[in-house]
Amino acid sequence: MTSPTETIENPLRAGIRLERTAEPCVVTIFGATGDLTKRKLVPALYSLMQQRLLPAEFAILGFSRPEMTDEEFRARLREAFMEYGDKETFDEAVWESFANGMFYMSGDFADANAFQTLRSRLEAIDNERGTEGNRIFYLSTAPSFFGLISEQLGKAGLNESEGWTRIIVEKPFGHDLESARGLNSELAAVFQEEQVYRIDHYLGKETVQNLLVFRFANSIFEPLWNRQYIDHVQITNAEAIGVEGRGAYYEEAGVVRDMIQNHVFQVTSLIAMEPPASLSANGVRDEKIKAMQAVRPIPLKSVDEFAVRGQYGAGYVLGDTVPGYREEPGVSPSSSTETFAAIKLYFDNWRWAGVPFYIRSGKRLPKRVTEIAIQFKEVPHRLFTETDEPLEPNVLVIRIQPNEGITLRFGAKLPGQMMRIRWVNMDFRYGSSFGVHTPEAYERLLLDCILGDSTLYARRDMTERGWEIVTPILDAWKRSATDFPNYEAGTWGPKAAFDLIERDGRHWRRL
Amino acid sequence: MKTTHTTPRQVHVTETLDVQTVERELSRLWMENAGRARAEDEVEETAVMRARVLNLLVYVSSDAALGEVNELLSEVTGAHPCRAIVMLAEREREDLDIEMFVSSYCQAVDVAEERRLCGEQLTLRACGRFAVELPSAAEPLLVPDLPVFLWWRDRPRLNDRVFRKLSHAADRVVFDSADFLEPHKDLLALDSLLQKERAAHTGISDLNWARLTSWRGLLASFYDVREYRAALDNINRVRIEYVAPASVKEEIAPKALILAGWLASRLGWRVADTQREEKDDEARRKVLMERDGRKIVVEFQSVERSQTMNGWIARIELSADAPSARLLFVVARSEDGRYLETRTTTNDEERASRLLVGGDKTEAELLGRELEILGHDRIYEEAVRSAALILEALEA
Repeated sequence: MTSPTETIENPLRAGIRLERTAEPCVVTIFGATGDLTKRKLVPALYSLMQQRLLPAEFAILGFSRPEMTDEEFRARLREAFMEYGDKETFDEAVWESFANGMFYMSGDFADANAFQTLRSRLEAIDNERGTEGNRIFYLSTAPSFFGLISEQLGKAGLNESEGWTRIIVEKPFGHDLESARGLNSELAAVFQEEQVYRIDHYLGKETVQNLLVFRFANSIFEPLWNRQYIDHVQITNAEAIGVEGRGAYYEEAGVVRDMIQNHVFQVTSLIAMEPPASLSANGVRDEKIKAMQAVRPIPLKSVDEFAVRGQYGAGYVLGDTVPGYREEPGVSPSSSTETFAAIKLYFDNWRWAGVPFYIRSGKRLPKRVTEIAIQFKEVPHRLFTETDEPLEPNVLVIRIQPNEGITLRFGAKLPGQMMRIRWVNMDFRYGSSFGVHTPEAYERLLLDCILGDSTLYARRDMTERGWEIVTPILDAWKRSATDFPNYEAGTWGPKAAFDLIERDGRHWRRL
Repeated sequence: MKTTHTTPRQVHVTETLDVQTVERELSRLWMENAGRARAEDEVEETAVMRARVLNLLVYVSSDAALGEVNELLSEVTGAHPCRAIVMLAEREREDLDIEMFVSSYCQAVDVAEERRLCGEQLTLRACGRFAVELPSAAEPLLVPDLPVFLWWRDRPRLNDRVFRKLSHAADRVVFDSADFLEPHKDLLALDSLLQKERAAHTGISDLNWARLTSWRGLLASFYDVREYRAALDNINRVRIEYVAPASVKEEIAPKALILAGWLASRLGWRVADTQREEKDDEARRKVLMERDGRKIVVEFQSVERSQTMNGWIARIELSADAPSARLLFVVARSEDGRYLETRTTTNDEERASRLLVGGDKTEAELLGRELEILGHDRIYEEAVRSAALILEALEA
């Protein structure tokens, strides 16, 4: 993936086997006293700095309501790093040097004067730190402030500068299609689409990026990647955890809003897309949206044929007794929020006609696993008839977490006089094959934004398309009664999820 | 991940090497490994995966070095499962014909699934006059269709017969110019070797060059800043401070020469003239370079540091008189070697500075990185070419 920075001619950069390095800039974090800043953003930025991927001319400006001095802000982030960051990489002297570039200002998002002050602060930092007017605004706040902050930035003239200006928007991106469109319009009123970076941390995962390499750098898979050879695709996104104290948020969201319409669809699009003409941000994203536009709409009246929902009751997970969803703090005792969903999708296009994509995602399933399984068609003629054992189809599994890697399942003859077949896995494991530090998703995504590479960020059309696909499902579920809880924690979802795939003569993979 | 090695088992080697005997021994070893894994884990299905993504030829000249190499291979082979053929050539000892040992190393890939990723090691030992026979014994043992890396973990003997034979069998040769016994003479020999190999298929990796990557990255980063980029055309002085090499204290560390050579080759500087400082200050040297009539003074200065830092770069300063300002870019290693500091000064006023952890990568990490690369490193070749020209000018 190329970026503007890489194309700048610096003869000393030629041939350096270093990662990409960034231009000077200042990152303004709205909601700088929140959890995300402490847990993810500052550890990611510190790690980038340790890896020498950030320039000396770099600064962080925190913007939040509480009153605090720069020194107090630095101390707070240091404390947070010691709690959430990788302590092994911490070095007091290096942190001090890094913290010299951290600043803070208190302000109310509704106060236009605060944004004028912000403007002056940024100009002062440009002078002091040499950040050249390059700016990133990171909206790490509740989604209800996204529109307001964007508007205030526009009014203060902060949507452009002498250098470049970019805005990163955290998830959730809207609550439904209408709110997503509204939010996109609010952002578009102030920023050009090229300036907007909608974060989806799943896209920052190394294995997700490897999907592009796997599909388009290997000539052996692409000829098989179509309806001629593939029977169906299964995408599983399972979590063993429950709502983890986020009951109130989850009550409004549910698994379709929280996981499927964003993360799972992003992964699905990488499997279904056509080869892009180039790896430019729009080259890749054009093909992703083209694929998702081919998803057959699910008619409101037939939602039950294509989608199943579930909610966990009490049960046992990883050797622990766990409460049901309705007993979680912040959750209504009669909640109808789904914690599990299984959906069958068809892509009405040349490549995928007739190939179902089965998607399932849920909480309190037996284990944490995210994988894509490409199941190939069975051999056309049964040659090995000595035993009655069924012939298994070949499966290509791309595992995103944990143990990222790729497995190909194929038949091999068992040694001996008999012609017996044993199904074996050929494994490629990221961890054991490369044995190197794989960057955290936020490290990758933050660096990409600083470099101006939006390939791994969601584009406006993609966020809206995700909502378009799930809207009939959410509407139908809103109107019908539930039988919740309908699966026990620690199982693979409700019986209806098994029926969904089994009535097509197929089975979920045993994971 | 922890790597476990089996005890090396000696293989009887006849006067003429019988490759089939060696392969048979290896097969036996693998069957035993699988059996042992099943017995240890008490699991019927324990899988031992024999993996080889490359051939790694290793040359050492002492028992002590062999021990170190075995340790390093434990770290490297996890990420690069291979057939390692380690050659111990004890040339100064009494004649002893080639002895061979086979062993394997395994790494638990996934404890839950009882899988082990295993590679194999062949160790060949020869003493005295038999040492020169080692390449002919090692070559037939290479696994076909896999790239061949030669890790020459000894003083680089660029004109040595064994080195030449082994390097011709390899796609890439890895050595360390920090181990040069006569840095100036050896650097010139390296330059001629690179010129000869330019057209050949063998690539060259110098771990000392790999250690310079972070310095190069930091120097390059000064010019990623738009405001400073024009200064590249106005550099008029480079000062490199280095810790003298352990082998010959009076000579300039190869790392310092190669770093200067890199700057010169990237920025199109040519040697113009040389000037020596007074004789009582032998360690201090200057070369005058030029580009388009603009003069650039490249200055080397030896500084004192602890022995562990012998041959290291201590500090580099680039000065530029741009039309609008006087710029100074500095990268310096702290006295204890722990940190690297970068500093930019405009008209004597400090603009930006930062402190970074400056420890070098371990030898295993550096080697692991080199095993990912095939082909020529033209930037390195050009840097060595310029370094050699600088050196010739200094010694003229």
